[in-house]
Amino acid sequence: MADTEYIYVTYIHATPEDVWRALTETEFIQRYFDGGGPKSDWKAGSPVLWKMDEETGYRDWDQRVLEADPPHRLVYSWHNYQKEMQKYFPWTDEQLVELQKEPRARVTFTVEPAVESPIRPGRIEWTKLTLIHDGFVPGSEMLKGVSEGWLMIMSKLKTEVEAAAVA
Amino acid sequence: METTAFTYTVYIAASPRQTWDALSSAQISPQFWSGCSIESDWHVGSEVTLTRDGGVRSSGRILECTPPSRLAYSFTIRYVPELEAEGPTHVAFELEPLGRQTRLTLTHSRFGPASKTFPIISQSWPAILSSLKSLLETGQPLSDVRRAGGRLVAASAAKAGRD
Repeated sequence: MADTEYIYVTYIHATPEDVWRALTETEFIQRYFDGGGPKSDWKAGSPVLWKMDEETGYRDWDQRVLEADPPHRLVYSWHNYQKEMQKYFPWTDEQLVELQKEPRARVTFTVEPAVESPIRPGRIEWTKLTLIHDGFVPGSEMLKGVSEGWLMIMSKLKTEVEAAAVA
Repeated sequence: METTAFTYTVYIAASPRQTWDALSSAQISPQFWSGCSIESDWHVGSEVTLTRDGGVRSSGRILECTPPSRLAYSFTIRYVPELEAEGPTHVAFELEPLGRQTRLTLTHSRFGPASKTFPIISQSWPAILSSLKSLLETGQPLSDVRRAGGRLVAASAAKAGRD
């Protein structure tokens, strides 16, 4: 993994359609995205609103759906540094102005069949989900900020999708 | 210059002790480790082997063993002479409790330059550790990681009687 991107791979005991639902349905997203995350109709070109945490509402920070090919591939632009984020990061106003000059990153989810049922041909039992968050400059503060977050979110996404699949 | 280390971290809704037991149990390991049984007496300096169908897949020596927090061992693939010739690499597990979860970090390091072992383990660790997480959280592991290569394959193709 280069120092300009974050990559995470997980295998989930569910179908690609189950995983796609988890990536795109607002209510489901909130279960694993720390009470927030993205909201969109997930059509190419549509806005992606962002909810930073439980207390904050959905914001339009000029994020867009770049590609949507259900249930295989989802790509959207990331948000720039925002003043509201200062409650989580030790950036001064001056630092924020400098940070906001960085190029905008991009999030790509790839959803692939991994294991097919031996008794029901065509039925996918395990799905491989790959996240690539890239487009950062080397040493980006934003990249450092999102890495630990994505790890927790992806772990929780897997837990929630599998819990829903057996329910 | 050696190849970079491979790391993988995952949060598991289970205790460090449950996670440790799965990683170090000859009975539990085959369930999530593609039928490979990990065996050792878990003393520093002792041998540790991964065995499947009576054949040793990999082996090494225990370097650190501090249950349920830290486990490290040397690791050499044995089933392909070219990979065996690359010599031992280093596998380390860190298990940290966080609330009712375990933050499990795997660091696989000390690869030589242009290592052929590296791309193999880079593919298999996310699948093995995803399978471990599913086993501990739902009781249903990914039983054959060999077959989850990101392309569509049928599981248990070797089952007797299957046409």
